Amino acid sequence: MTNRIHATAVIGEGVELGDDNVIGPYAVIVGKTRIGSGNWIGPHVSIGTPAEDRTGPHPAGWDGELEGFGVEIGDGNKIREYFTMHQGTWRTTRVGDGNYLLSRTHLGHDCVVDDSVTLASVQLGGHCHIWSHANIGMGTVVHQKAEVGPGAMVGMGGAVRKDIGPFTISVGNPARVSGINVVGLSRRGCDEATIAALEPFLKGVGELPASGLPEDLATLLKAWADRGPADH
Amino acid sequence: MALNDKLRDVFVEALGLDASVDVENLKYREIEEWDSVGHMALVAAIEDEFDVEFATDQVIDMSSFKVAVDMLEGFGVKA
Repeated sequence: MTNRIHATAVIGEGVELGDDNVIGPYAVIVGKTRIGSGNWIGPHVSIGTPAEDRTGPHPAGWDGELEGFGVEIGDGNKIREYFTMHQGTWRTTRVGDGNYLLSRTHLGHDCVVDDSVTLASVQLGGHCHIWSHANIGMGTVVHQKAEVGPGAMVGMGGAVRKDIGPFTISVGNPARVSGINVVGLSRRGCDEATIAALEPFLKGVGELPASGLPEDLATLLKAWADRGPADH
Repeated sequence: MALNDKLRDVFVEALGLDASVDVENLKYREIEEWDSVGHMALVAAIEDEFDVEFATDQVIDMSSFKVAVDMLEGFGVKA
């Protein structure tokens, strides 16, 4: 299917669109931006404007100025009203597939949001990484460079100041881990015994079990465990 | 004041409990007030009151009043 773009939307000349996207009134999509297929992009969304970097370049993307590392969005995302996403300063600011990004969510420069993530009016500082299946509650603020692990939940109004481990539940300012996301693990195919075997790792007091995990989950958790320090 | 009495007061204050609640037999998520948000308010209140700092695994494992007492005794907190 072709893309359905409202007449008032601004689509810059550096924007590449896949198929079957819906783009609402007054959306502004500019810069070096690649968007996949099947996305729903709501009214007043702004994607691909420059990084909020005082000393960095501020190209007018709507006038065809394409300086910067750009933005990439995958397939099947729901992007609600007033969402904003800035392009990167050292890497492409990226959103994967199947995410639900609620109204007024902001992705700062160089952020990476993997797949099947829910962000409810969340503010991400620059360079953050939100791993797949994370669910971040209403009004949460994430400090620049922080990572929220796969399957982690952060309660509404949280202030994430350091990395949040996978499949944990965190609340507060600063956000602290208060429990294990048992429901999330069940949805990823874990039974009670598997969850029990994983608990020491998730609590930060044990190693990742060498076997017994569903393959997708094992891959995700190994990637988390092996992740290096932030490059910037 | 005995440790149990002092801790009971912290639970009542942090979770906003009614006088009728049997605090010493209370378990996490057994009552509406002790949900994940209440849990962190409780953990912070206990840390303030007893001048201790719980590790992440202890925060997760604090599943009842009795477990909280055991943890505080583990820190060397006495009546």
